[in-house]
Amino acid sequence: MLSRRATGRLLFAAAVIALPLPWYLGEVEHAPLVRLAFFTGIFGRVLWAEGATGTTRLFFVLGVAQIVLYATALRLVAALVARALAGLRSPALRTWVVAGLAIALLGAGLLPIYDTPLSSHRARSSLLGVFD
Amino acid sequence: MRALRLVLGALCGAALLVSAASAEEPATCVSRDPLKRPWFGDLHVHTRWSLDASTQGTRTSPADAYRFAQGEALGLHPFDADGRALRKVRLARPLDFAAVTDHSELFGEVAMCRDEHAAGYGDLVCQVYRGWPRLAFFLMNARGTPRFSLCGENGAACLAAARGPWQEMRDAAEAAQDHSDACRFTTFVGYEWTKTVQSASNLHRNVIFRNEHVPEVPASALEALTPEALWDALDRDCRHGIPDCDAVVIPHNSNLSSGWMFAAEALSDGRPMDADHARRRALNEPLVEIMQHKGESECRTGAGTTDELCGFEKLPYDSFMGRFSRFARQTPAATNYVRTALGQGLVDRVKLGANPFEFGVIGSTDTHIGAPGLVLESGDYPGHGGAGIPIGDALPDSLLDPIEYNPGGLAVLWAEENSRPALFAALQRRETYATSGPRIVLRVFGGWGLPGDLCQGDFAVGGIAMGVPMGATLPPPPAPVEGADATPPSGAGAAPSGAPAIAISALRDPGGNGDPSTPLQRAQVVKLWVGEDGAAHEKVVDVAGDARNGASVDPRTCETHGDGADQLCAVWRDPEFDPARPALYYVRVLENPVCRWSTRACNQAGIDCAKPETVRTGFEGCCDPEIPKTIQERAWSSPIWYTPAN
Repeated sequence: MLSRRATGRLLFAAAVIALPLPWYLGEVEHAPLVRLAFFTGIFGRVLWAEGATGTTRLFFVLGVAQIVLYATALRLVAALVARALAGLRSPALRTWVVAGLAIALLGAGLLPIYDTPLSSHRARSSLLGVFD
Repeated sequence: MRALRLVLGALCGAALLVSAASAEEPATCVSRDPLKRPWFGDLHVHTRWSLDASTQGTRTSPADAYRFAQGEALGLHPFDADGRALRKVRLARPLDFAAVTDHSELFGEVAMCRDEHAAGYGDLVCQVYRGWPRLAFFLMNARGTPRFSLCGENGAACLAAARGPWQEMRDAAEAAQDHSDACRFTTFVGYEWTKTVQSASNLHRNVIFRNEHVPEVPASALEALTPEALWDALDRDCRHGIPDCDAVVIPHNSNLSSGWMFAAEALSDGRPMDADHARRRALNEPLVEIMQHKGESECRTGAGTTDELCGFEKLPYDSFMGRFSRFARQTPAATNYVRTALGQGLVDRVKLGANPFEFGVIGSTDTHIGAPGLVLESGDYPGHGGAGIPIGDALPDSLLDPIEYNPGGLAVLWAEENSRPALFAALQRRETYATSGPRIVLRVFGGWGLPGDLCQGDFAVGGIAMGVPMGATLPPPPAPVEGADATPPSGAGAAPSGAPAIAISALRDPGGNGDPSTPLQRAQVVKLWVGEDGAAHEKVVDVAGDARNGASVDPRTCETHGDGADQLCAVWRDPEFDPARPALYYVRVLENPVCRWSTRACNQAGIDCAKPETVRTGFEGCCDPEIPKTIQERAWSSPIWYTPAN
């Protein structure tokens, strides 16, 4: 049976992995936060290796700012949903609802629902191409 | 009148003899025409060696681009698993000349990241380039100095690697050049110097070399940081360093420069423009690219002008930042535009004694798919890439270019023959014009004695004998001669005697091989002059054709209606000429309206703005009221200047 805290964490993780969010890194993408984090990481690595020059630093800061903003918001929403679900009397039902939400998110993510102009392969991607 | 014709004929014959005898270049082509012909080409072409092109999937080589310019088919991305192109394009009518002008800044980096034997191939930046090319576009393109560490100390490894792409471009130009006396196709070795300042404000310039004698490595914006440094490098490494080496520098996209392209100060040290600097600029930069894929730069309605025809192919932002971020969009000011700079040049001549903006005009595509001259307003327009829409592995269900972009224009050079010496001389003397795509033939002469009936005779012979061509400065006015011709030019009105005349001949693009032929609507003279207040003023006058000819186009079907002209010809004498005031005149010729490329593409995609359910993602721009449904294609001549003797 999932605790309220575990419910919140599970929903948060599913949202980070699969929820399409609008963010900007040179182009506007509608893609999961994990993709933004991955790209920001690339800029961070280059920044570390090459030093802080104009665009690399700008994009890194832009990425980090959006990650912090979205992560905070998602964490809050996940906590609120977990609190609402905690009202369900049956722990089994609660678990099924949480699992259902997470599976629905991840399942939808297997369809090309993300706008990914930064992808070198396709303008619309699924979770399978989320790191392209 | 007969006597006048005889005199004219004699004058023309003498002029032609003199012209032939004093020609700057030897007669090499069998089709050499001393009266000159218009040659159509493209001097702004990117291939796989430009970082922005290659990170969008362009595989076109410089040799491919030259073959395309000559009429061969070109395969475009996306490619299938076997490397076969899934799209093909071909020019219905080959070009006469072209120059591949890849961005020189990252030649070495791109070469190293693509060559698995290169030292820097495994570097992190190269891994990003190969794995996430779109990310690499942002990472590498706007980095500036210093170069990445993969380039080694002082960038030496990248500068060494840059020789590879540069040599390939030089070889491709040599291989494609028609060295026979048939002179079917001319190439120029060239490159783009790609500097931006502040918030990605554009200072980009193309460097076009006279011939195959060029520097070993092009001076990029990573070494030559300002336009002045670029001119220095060309002096040092070309004009003074290599026999027979010369180049012209052609700025482009002043519309994206936030006013920096025509700044009133030297960008090297911030000092106000002085006469030496102005002369140096005019010498190095005799031309400006007024029309291309990323918008037209002549003028903007509401920005210092009420000319309603200045709304043509305008970008809604004034720097590259605006392309990539709506929040950074600034409405372009008048200082971004060529007309403003031409007027400022007249003012500077009065103030400084020299005109820094004494430039002629050309158009080109700025294609980033290596497709020079692909300028058709077609529903199948594939997009020219660059800062455009990446295609990826499959064609997206969307417009294939940002809707505010366009297919670009052409450069037209008046020269005796299609050879490097003749065409380069045309560039230097600014006997050039630009079109937004159609092959309108536009000829302009200015002179004091151009007869009013020039259009009834041999226009070229009379114009050459009695006037100067576009790009030139009028000679001093002749002293009044008793008994001189008093035939008033057409539309002369109350022109004072002694006013210069502008003679204009425009022929409709004949089309052919599937290319359309649209009638001409009208020809206009744009006059700029310095007023008594010391500021530049402008006036636009219709001199031939009819703005109300009733021609129209139905944007739903793109069917055109109404008549126009196959030919427009006029001799216009300036009715408000003041010999004490510096002035210039250039000509704009307009076709009847046709559908814009985006209208055709939206129609083909079945978009009906009255039915929101048809407006799919990627086609939202089809219903943007700011995007015109129709356009009037056009040509712009280089100016003819008048400078008072004092």
